[in-house]
Formats: sequence, C-alpha cells, structure tokens
Amino acid sequence: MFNLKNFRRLMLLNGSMYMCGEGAFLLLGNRPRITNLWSKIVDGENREWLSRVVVESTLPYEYALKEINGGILLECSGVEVNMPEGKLEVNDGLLRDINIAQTGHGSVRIQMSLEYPAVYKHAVYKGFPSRLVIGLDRSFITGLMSGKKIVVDPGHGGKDFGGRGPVSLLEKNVVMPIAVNLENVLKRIGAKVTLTRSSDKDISGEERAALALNVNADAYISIHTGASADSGMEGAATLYAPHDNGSARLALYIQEEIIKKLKVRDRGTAGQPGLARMDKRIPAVEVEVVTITNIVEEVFLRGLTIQERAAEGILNGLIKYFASDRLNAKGDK
Amino acid sequence: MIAGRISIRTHVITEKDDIVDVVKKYTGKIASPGDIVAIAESVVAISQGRAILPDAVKPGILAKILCHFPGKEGSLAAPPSIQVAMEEVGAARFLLGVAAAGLGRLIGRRGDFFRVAGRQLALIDDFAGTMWPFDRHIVLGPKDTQKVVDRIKQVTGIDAVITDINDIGKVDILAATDGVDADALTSYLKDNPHGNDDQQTPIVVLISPENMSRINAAAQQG
Repeated sequence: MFNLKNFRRLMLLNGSMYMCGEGAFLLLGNRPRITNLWSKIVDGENREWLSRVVVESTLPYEYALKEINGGILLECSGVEVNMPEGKLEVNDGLLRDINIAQTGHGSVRIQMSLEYPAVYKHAVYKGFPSRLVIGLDRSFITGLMSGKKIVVDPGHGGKDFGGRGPVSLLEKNVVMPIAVNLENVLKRIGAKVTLTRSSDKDISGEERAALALNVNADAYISIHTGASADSGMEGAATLYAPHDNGSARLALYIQEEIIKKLKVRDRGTAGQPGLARMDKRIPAVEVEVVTITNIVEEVFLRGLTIQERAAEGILNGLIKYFASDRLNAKGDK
Repeated sequence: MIAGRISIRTHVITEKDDIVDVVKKYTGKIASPGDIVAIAESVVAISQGRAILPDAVKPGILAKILCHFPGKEGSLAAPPSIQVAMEEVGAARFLLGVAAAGLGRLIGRRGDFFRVAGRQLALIDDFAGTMWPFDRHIVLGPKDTQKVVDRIKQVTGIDAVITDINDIGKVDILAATDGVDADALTSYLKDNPHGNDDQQTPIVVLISPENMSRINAAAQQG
C-alpha cells in the first residue's frame, strides 16, 4: 500500500533525492555504500582466536551468509560498492583472500576463500560507519599446532655477526626480533618453542643441532638474512637440510608464504649442506628473510613491520606443512 | 565541528592518477557540502610523481658519511634518502640542520634538525615508509598542497585538507580550504583513520553534524 513513509523509504533505497524541509540534499549518494573491507587476527571475547573480517558501509543493508566450497559467501542487497572491486589478499594462515564484486544493481557478492574449514559468527554494529563483522574461528590451526615442538634458531651470534648491511645493520642482531616474534605467534597457538639463543652469544652448529635433538623437535627453523657481495641481490630464500625427511617440502611452504607476506623477490629454495648436521628425523630449514646487503632491504629489516610479517609468513608455512602432513597421514590409512 | 567520519579504500594510487579525480570518484556519492575530505599526504605526493626508485639517486660522499651518524632523525636512514633530502633543501642547509641536531642533543632537545633544515624533510618517507608497491621507493612530500585542496573544492564543492598523520598520534594539516579550522580537526584524526599496513584508506570523509543527522534518520528508516 502506498503511503508517504513507504514512498520515502523507496526513494532512499532507489537512490533518489531525499526531500526535507530546507530543500533537496544528496543523502550519502542514494543507497548504502560499502567503503572499506579489512581483516585482522584478534582474540575474541571468550579467548577464542579469530580472523575478523569487517565490511564498512555508510548505512546498514540486508545480507545473507552461506558456506560454499572452500570458503564463505556473503551476499548483500540494496548496497553499492564504493571501493575497488576484486581480490584483497589476506594470507593470515586461515583467510587467503576476500573478493568483492558488484553483481547487479544493488547486489554485492563478497567471497572469503579459506585455507581450512572454519566456523563463523556475524553481527552488525550500527553507527557510522555501519560495520558488518564476521568472526572466523581459527581453532583448526590451534588444533593442528598445539603441542608441536618447534626449535627457532636466531642465526649467528657473538663474534659471528653474519651478514652486514651497507649502513650498519648486523644479521645476528636483526634475526633476534624476528625469532622472538615467531616464538610469540607459535606460543599463541599452543606450540612448544625452544630458542637456541636469547642473547648475543656464539653457539656452534653442533650445539644447535643437539638442542633440536634433545627436545625431539618437530621442526627446526633457523632465521637468517641473505648476504652477497653483489649489492643488487635482493629478496628471500629458504634453504633445507639435505635429508629426505620433509625439509624440502617445509622449505617450499615457508618460501611460498613468506613471499606472499613480504612481497619481495623470490630467490626460491635450495639444499643447505650446512644443515646436514641436523638429525635426519627433524625437518630443518634456514629462512633468509630478505637480503641484508641490499641497501633497500637493510632499511626494510630495521622496520617492525617486516620483522612481524616475516614471522607470520614462516608460521603460515609451518601450518601448511603440518596440515599437509595430517592430510597425508589420513590418506595413508 | 565533526559528527562522524568514514574511511574509504581506494585503488593503489600511482603517478597516472589525478588526485582530484580520485577524490571525486570515491567521495562523489558520500560527501555533501559541509563535510570535509581528508587526504593522506603520501598519496598526493605519489600522484604527483614524487616517488623515486633508488636507482634514480646517486648518493654523494656526504650522504654516505652522514648515514653512519647515530640518532638520524625521522625516516632518513639510507644514503639515497639523505641524498634526496639534501637536494630538496641544499647541502648547506641540510648540514646546518645536522649541526643544530647535534647541539640540540647536547642540551636534551629534539626536533632541531627539521626546524633548521626544513619541515618538508619530515615528509620524506624512506624505503619501507610507504606501503607496497611503493615500499621500495623514497617518497617526497607533496607539492602545491594549497592548490590541490582548492582544486578539490572547486571541482567537488567539498572542503578538503591534506594530512600527515603518524602512528603515534601526531597530526599535521599541510593545507586546508578556506574556512576549515585545521586545528580543530586534529582530535578527529589522531588515531590515524587512514590506517596503516594493508589498510589502504587514504581518503577519509569527516561528516558535519547537519549531514550526520540526515544519515542517522536514513539509518532508522532503512
């Protein structure tokens, strides 16, 4: 039935001018508009660990969420996209990417691609901007990683300073915060972490290998930077122990994930004869987080962002490794 | 006075963009007269072609020496960015700034380098100071900021400011259209609504109380 109230609503939804006392105003350009989309890993109210996706808009709108193969689909109606359409890479270990598209007049599809299955919750927070918040439960990852024994080795130390940047940065110093960041994110998901050193001291390769053996490590991650007499060399590489024990596969996963996180040149993976001293039962890799002798990447290494992202990339590689292990174990049964 | 604000994600702005077109495209159906559009200074600079790759810079001996001095201020860390900064203000003024910073440090005072060498140097982002794909660039501060905001007002009818906001809550308004009380805006911007890292929201619309009332009314009706 037609009445003025319905007419006003109709006018608003269809994007016409909203008439009011003092004249015509363009009210937020007609219908609700999605202005931003972002995600972050957060602790939930009940200590659950979540990938939180936030869709911000000028006004609320109708939506429906459903599970689809490999992800979750958010279908929105009566809303326009006011941001670039296409894929936003997330790569947080659970949420790979979010793809937003205007599929018709007032119809928007937002597809979240997941690495692993996840239960989700959602809520709309009214206000300005209006926020549709989707919490994706990351407990698959905690279940996978809980109790895993990981040895994290900040490379070099003491008199052995490793590579040196063109200005002054030393490899032995910058690998430390990356290792500590990795320790923290691993502990958050229930892994048991042992650092080979927590201060600036010399440790031999044999001592590092013995420590990994003593704790019966599920993986050994040595943190390094690339270094070269060629100042043009740049990017990340991951080296692996020359044993047929999963080290090469672990290196591939870590390399793939670190490149996604850091967006630097991919120098690939290769065998590292120096890791031959590691026990053959322990998958072992050496991650060269960018190249300290490159003038740009030395500056990168000084920043907290790359120190955090490198740790996140290594973690995501470890998660993929153990997830593929679990998959293989199931396949073998 | 501001009653609300909304951050807008944009595409990756490059030197091929005209910042006025970018503002028009993303705020055209959001901002109304009375609102203020705030634009992050780094994207204005990038749209003006002020992002420089290191290969384009040949650091001189002075830049190579100065990069080893401890306590370098701001984001000037690598020889190429120091070279670019010296070319912006002249080597003599840059060195005076270094001397002033040294003396200032003796008496426990900070900020003398930029006071003497020039505030514009504080706007230079070294490598890693701007988000990908400009993280391998040195990004200078924007030029002709007053002309930029005036042109935005002329084309869109909306007031505009160019902001330099860091993550510790320091807000500088580099330019504002006539009638905008720049000092009054800082409290609305100090938590950096432009975001950082992957939050690519270089445009923020600050909503006036009058327009906010209409938005609230629409939200209730919807």
